[in-house]
Amino acid sequence: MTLKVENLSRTFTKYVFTKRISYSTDDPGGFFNEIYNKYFSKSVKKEKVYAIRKVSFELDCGKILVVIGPNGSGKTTLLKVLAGLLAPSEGRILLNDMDLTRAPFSTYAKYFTYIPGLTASGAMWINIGLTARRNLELYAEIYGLNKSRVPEVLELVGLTEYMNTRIGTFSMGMVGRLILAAGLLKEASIYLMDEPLVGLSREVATDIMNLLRTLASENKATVIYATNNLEEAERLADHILFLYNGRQVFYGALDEFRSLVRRFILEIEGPLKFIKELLQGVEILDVSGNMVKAILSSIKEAHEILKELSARGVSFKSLKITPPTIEDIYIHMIKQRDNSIVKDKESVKTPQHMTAEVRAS
Amino acid sequence: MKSFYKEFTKYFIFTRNFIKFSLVLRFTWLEWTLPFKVIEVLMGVLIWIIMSNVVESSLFYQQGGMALFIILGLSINQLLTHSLMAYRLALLRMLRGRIGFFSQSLSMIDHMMIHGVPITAGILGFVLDGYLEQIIVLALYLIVGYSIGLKFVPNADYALALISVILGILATSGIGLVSASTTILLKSWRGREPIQWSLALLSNVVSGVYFPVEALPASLRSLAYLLPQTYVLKLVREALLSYTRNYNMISSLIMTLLVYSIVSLSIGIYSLKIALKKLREEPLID
Repeated sequence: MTLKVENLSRTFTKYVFTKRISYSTDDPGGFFNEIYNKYFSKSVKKEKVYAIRKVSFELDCGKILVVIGPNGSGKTTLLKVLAGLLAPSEGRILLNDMDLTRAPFSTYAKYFTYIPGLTASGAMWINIGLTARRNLELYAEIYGLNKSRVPEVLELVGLTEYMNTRIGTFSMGMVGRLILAAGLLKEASIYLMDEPLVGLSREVATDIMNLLRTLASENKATVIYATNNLEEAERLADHILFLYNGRQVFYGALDEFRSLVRRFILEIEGPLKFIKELLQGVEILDVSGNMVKAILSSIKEAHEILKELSARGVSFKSLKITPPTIEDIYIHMIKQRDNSIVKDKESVKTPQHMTAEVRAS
Repeated sequence: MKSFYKEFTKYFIFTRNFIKFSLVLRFTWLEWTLPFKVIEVLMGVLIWIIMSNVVESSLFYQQGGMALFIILGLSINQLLTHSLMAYRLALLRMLRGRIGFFSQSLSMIDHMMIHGVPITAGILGFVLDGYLEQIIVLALYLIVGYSIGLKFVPNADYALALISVILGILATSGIGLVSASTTILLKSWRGREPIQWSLALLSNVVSGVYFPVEALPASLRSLAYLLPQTYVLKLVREALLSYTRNYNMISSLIMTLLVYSIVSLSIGIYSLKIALKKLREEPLID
């Protein structure tokens, strides 16, 4: 099963209040407020905003695509559009050449499932007075899922021990696991996972990541996984989709993403003042305590820095030169993107331009 | 002295901001709840004023007198009011998550969409659940009435009463569906919804819940016949409280109610269809 997404966009109308009239007119949801603001008020400006813009990719079954990007970059919107929860404004969604773009949500439901993270679950279906097992059984009953899988999914998320405990007594991490268990009750061809490991302990997160790998390799399921955690991305991804302000900055294989930045990472710990002076003109990725992380364009540059250090007699605690992790590349690309926006507000480049620019660098 | 000043400043800032915040909340309450409440109270007073004028009137049906008249009126009207309000309430409960938290949160509707469950099934589930409660209340009204010696006429036409109530439920459900649709179409998910609110309120005064429509001033009487509740209550009382029946009047009332049901349900279903389509296209909070 091949999922093909072509120039997918989702817009919404943003209402900007140019003048505050009263608390009530700013406050949305009231019958008269909405009519007044939309049709009569002169102090409300309408703006068309892109939540995602011209996103394209193609993904074969059994592959894991990790969607990365800063907060508000459109990751959740993309996943919700693919899940059929939101309608796309432009573009096409093709599944084995079957056009799903204008299909009803019931068609999407046949192939996709959307698993939210703890923060976006809404918790509508949770009855805190019932046990974990009963909650999931009810969830399965209501939504027509296989109830007999409840013990299995509870085991997958490490909740077997607590299956007969009222969920009102659960910690946040346990609720997160329960939400994930509810999501995994549905067996689908394409799993859309929106930061599902947020709030989960390390060992459970590792188990879930292994489970996703198994789903992809053995069940031939496709996984589209949105995250801000680049360690998860590095562990899971076959492909990376990088979104920034709703635009696609990069799409390709993980190795291709790594090779985008043919540079080196220098991590040096020592007297901060001297190090910063020495690294003038070099892109600093991070400073924490006396540790500076910078991106170097070549090994030669690293040699020069070392030479300079010894010439000045600066003693440093540690020094490390490594190839960049995807986190380094991510931060580098975000910084580059931020700078280009500051430099030229109109230079909103196409994904192809951006990729070419990064390759050139 | 300095630390006392610091503490006092902190205290003052917190109190000021807290009051400011609660005032904002209070403002919404004042605007969206208080005026409606006042009108409801005024209408209630009006009911009792009119009622006191007709309490000994011969306008009440022969069987059961005023007490049974009112018990039937209240219980049937409660059922019809539920039809007016239940659809919107169901939709609001199902949307909790998209509204109430942040727009990124999933609501019950989202969970239904993920699993391919029709949204209307959820609405119906909530509404029917409410009907069950209403039918229990209706039964209680009748049981209490019966236990204190209030009985229907021996030749009561229960089938006619049932058909009238069903038609009434369909007619008010149509309006209820339009009201529910405005939640999404106008994004008016907060506070009262004027369509169902005004109909539910008017029905208490003019549809003959507490007194016969004939007791109303002429100007209000024409208003009464705009409401489906008026026809239902008239028919049910004719069926259960009257020894002799005017079948010409009954058939014309049934026909009116039938047309009312078809028209209001068609508009209601169509508006809900558009609203549910819009749910995927536009967020509820702009």
